[in-house]
Amino acid sequence: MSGSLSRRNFLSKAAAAVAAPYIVPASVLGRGGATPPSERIVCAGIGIHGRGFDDLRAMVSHRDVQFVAICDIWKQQRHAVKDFIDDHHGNKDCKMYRDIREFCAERQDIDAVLIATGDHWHAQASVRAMQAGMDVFTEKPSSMTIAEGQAVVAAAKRYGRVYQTGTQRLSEANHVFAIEMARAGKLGQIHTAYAHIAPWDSAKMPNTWKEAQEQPPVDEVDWDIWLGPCPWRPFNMDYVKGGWRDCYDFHTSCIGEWGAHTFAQAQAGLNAGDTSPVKYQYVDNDSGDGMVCTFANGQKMILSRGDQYWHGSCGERFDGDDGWAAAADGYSMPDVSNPKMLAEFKKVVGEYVARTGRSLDHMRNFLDCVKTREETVANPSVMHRSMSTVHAANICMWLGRDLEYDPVKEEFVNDDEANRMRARAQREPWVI
Amino acid sequence: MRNIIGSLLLAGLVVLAAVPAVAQDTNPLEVLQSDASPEQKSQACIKLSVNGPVEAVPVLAALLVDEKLSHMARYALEPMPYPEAGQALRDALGKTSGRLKVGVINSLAIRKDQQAIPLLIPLLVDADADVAQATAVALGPFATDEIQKALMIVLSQPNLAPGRFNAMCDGLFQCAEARAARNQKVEAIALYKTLLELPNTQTQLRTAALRGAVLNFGVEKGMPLLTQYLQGENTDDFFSALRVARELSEQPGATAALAALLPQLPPERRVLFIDLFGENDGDAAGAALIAQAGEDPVELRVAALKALTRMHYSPALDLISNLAWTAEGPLAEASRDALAYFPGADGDAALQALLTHADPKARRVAVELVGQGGLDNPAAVLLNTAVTDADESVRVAALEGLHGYASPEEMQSLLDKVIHSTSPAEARAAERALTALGERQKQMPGGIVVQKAVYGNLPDGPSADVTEQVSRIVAEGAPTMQASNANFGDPAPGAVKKLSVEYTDNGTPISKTVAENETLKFKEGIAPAALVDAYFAAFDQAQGDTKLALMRLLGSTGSPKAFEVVRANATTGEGAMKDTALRTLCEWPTSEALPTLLELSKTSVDPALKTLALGGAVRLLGATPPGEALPQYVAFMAQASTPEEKKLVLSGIAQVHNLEALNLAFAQMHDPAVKPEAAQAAIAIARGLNQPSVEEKSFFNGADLTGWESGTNYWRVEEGAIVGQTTEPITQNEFLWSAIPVSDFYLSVDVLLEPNEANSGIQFRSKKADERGQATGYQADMGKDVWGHLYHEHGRGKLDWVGDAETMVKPGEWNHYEILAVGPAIWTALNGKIGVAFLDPEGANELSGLIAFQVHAGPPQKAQFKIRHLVHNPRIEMETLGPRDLISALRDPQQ
Repeated sequence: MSGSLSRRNFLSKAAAAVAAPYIVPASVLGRGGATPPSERIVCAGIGIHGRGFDDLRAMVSHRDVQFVAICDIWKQQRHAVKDFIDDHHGNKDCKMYRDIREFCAERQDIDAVLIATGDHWHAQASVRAMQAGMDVFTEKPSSMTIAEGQAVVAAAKRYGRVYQTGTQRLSEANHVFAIEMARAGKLGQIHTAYAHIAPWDSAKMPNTWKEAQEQPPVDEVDWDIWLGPCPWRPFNMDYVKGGWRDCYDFHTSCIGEWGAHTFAQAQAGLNAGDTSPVKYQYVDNDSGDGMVCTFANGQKMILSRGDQYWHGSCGERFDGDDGWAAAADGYSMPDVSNPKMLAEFKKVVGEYVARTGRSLDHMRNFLDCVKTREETVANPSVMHRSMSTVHAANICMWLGRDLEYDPVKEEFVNDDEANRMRARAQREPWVI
Repeated sequence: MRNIIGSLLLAGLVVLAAVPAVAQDTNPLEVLQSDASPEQKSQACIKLSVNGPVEAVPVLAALLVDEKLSHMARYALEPMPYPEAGQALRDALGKTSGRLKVGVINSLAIRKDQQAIPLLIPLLVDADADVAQATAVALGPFATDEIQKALMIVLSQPNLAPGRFNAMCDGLFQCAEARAARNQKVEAIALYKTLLELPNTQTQLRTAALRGAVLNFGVEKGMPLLTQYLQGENTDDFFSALRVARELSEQPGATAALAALLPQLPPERRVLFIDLFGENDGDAAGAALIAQAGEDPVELRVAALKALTRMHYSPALDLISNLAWTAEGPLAEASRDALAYFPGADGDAALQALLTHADPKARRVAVELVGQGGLDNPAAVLLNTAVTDADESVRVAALEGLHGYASPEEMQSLLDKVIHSTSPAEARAAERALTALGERQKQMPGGIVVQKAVYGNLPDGPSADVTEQVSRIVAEGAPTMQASNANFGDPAPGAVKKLSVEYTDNGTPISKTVAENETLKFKEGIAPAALVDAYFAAFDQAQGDTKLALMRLLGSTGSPKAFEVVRANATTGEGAMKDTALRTLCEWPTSEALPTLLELSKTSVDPALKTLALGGAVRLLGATPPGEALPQYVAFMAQASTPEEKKLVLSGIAQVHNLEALNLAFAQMHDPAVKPEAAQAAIAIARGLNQPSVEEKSFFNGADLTGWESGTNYWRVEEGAIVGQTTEPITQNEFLWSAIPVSDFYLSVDVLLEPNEANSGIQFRSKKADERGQATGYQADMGKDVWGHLYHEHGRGKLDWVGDAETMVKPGEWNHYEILAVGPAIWTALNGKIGVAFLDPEGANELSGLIAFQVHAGPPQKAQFKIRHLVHNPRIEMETLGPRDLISALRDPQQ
């Protein structure tokens, strides 16, 4: 029932062994071994396409998941998800909804919902789902502003909901190793962490409107709901297909794109999951590369766009008095100052699992918590604090000056303009 | 006026470098008051939101009633620190309605505008539900007596709509939170208790109320209330309380109180409850959990062991250590995990102690746990045990543990074990460790030349040419590469990308495509030369079983030189050498062995070897293009003599997603010994079937019988339906023929037969038996007692007469009839229930033909057909039935 302390999950270094042909189980004609209904988690999805399908596959790969409904403003995707799910479950039971309000009002039976909309809907949808009694797994970045993050934290607390943001590297063994090495002091006192930001675009987003196209019927594409709480602009199908990343209205820039992951990773290793840096030092470039963020205890987190600290994407590195450790996608093992540290890999990771009871499968960790009502590894506070760092770093870049932030009051110090950017008015009728 | 404000402001406005793309020298206020484009006005408001001065307020206020710009006006006004902005929003309350008013209310809420309270309270009962709900949520945080009372009054109205009810509750929860924050605990608790006692509320509302009450009560007063819910009959209440208990456990003294409650809960709840004890709870709850670790059911004991480990409760180590080698089943697994990963030095010490335990069984377990990472530097610990332990089984276990750790450093010691150990089990374990070591060290052989590589949202989306990067990775010798942003950047953010590579392997052109995060495998790797050379040197010296072991090790390297030696021994060797060489070939990792294995699988006289060769061939065929593999599977299937062999072939066929493979799988469903596997393969193929379905457009035009033919005048079109009607008794069956030939098809049609006691049917894949239009072939039957059955007109008669889809038929009404035929498989369904799922063992010559509707010989009748769809090359699905439903229902009535 609880987070499985299992070597099966993570110690199967599949390097060895010639793969045997795929053996066909004999139980095909029955559905032997299925999870009894009482232990099934009834799940649904909101806004799933592209990368969202990865999450969906991850979710339904767990046998205790029964996926029953999809809510999406885009008809084609509603049907694509329904087809996928019906095929997966071998029935035709997946129900389709266009409007999240109807979906939340009607589906009291749903335990947990997967949210993989465009970024600007993550917090709005999370709050609504939690108010309706659903637990939430949402893609990152999970808030557009500091205020949205606060609303997510408040709703999860108020209604006792389990929430996980999709920063899956917090559950991956390589990152767990680097984080635990830092957290447990095995690198000495940590003075600096480095966090990767997306190397392909800018912190400064043009926000220009794409050419207006004829708006399709709401049943095909509900443009009004797609826009949701964001400023109105004319319909263009490119947005719906995912072309919204260069827009201030819809995106949190190259800093949020990967910082949503890497700031959470870095803050976990710094034991700073429940706070944010207090100082943000403006850098005179387009991306925020090299920005030094300083925590109240003097520890630094430096934004890095290049790969001098790691050899892959979404990396973080911890530099301590006695050594350093780094992890990123594309590593077979973490990178360390002394290779002997790696002999401890299984031990460090195993002890993390033993200490926390958490699965090293991000989705499994969420599903376990749905059952046990525990806090997830990427819970609302972890999301909100790392995203607050993202928002503060963005505001620093946008205003073009150094900022000071008070993570207790959650306000910038002596900077009215920065404080005015902590929230954005939600477009009616959306309320947060 | 306008210009004056404009010029006053120009100097004061800080230019935002990054926010919106308004030309930097334009004054946003001037833009708003000009005939600038909606885009420019929107961007101007974004700018004003950050640094708009108080002078901007009146301009923005005027826009609050503008349907198109109201939001953007709020966008600018909402964060402004000026009281004038609040006044403008309050003024707008009376001038707006519907959506715009909801927005204004929300902005006042975000501004925490006290002066808005009296204006908002009346809106709690607004006729517009959205307005009332937004108001409730907006007012809650102010938490005045008046607001609380007003919310309660609305809440107590009978038949309040659920949306309003939940919003009022949300407002009251915010009230309670605000009071608790002001330290008005008594008032907060009273409010939470009131909310808790509301009847029939949704679970999340009860959770919220219970949470607030218990947490504000604190441990002493909160525990009785919490206990009541933890012990309540309602499971939802238990889960609500469980969540609350987690938060309460952070308060001082809570852990001990919760631990004391543990024995009072039923065991299945205890299992979940135990999970809430964590890292810092050892002192308060450790003893209670040790007691639980001894109680049934086993799930409870397992949960207790995990908790004791989480909390690093060292007094539990004796128990854990003991259970680790004496317990069985889940308890053994839990205690072993606990011992391996018990945090800290005392955990390591306990495992060290077990390594030197007097009982070999205990030492064996300890060695396994070291292999799982229980101690630092596991390779050294394991090698030491493998060399020094007095017990053979412990030494074997240590060698097995090295499987995951052995590096070139341990290679010679392991090879010595293979050569010199007198224990066959030890030699074998050392051999396996070496094999694993070789796998980890493998490198791709030469011969790969990358022609072109593309990574992106293929085929039509943005992509990048990554030929150079792929070539570099190949040149570095990696036999596989991951299609990931890490390797290739992100040319299409948000999309699930593909990597497509065209390359030649020793001159043979190959093209492979994998999805993002999948691994592209060029070819099997080969172990490094140092390892191969060491094996060869030892092989030349060795005798007997050791030589056989070294031959297997040579085989595991995949080296071409080793292949020649092994193949030579397979051909010319004798006895055990020949046998081992043959078996080594069957497990050969590279496609070099495929021709030999194909040959062996056909010619071997040793049945066991034949099956092994077949398995090896299927494994290697999995890496070859489906077009080349399929003919081999066909040949294999033709000569497969045992169910085991057929299953192997089926597992290969299942990976080929075309119709030919599907028909091969269908054909095997006639064999009861492999039917489940054949069905599984068919389902896998059907799900991935890569042929495009085509909807037939010229089957029926809805208006007349163009494209249809009959020798009688019984047929007409009425209200979009094809009608076959006889007004007098007729002596033979008559048909209306479509000119559209069908082979694999799906037909969906609504049918109405009057009277239900008459008979009609739908011919398919049929032929005209004579010029008059009599029919030969399959018929999906209609009529009392025959609905959904499969008949064979003028031929084989009743083909499948068993199904009970007729239970779904509404006599005398329209019923939905579906027919699906793919290869030898034929399905009918009525109103979503399968009528027949028939595998025709004799249908090889009837895979295509025509569709015809029937009126049957006998008294007058009327049969009507409303066509929904005719689809060629369909997927294996019906309206409410998927591939698994349909294929697993298939049967061969002759069985």
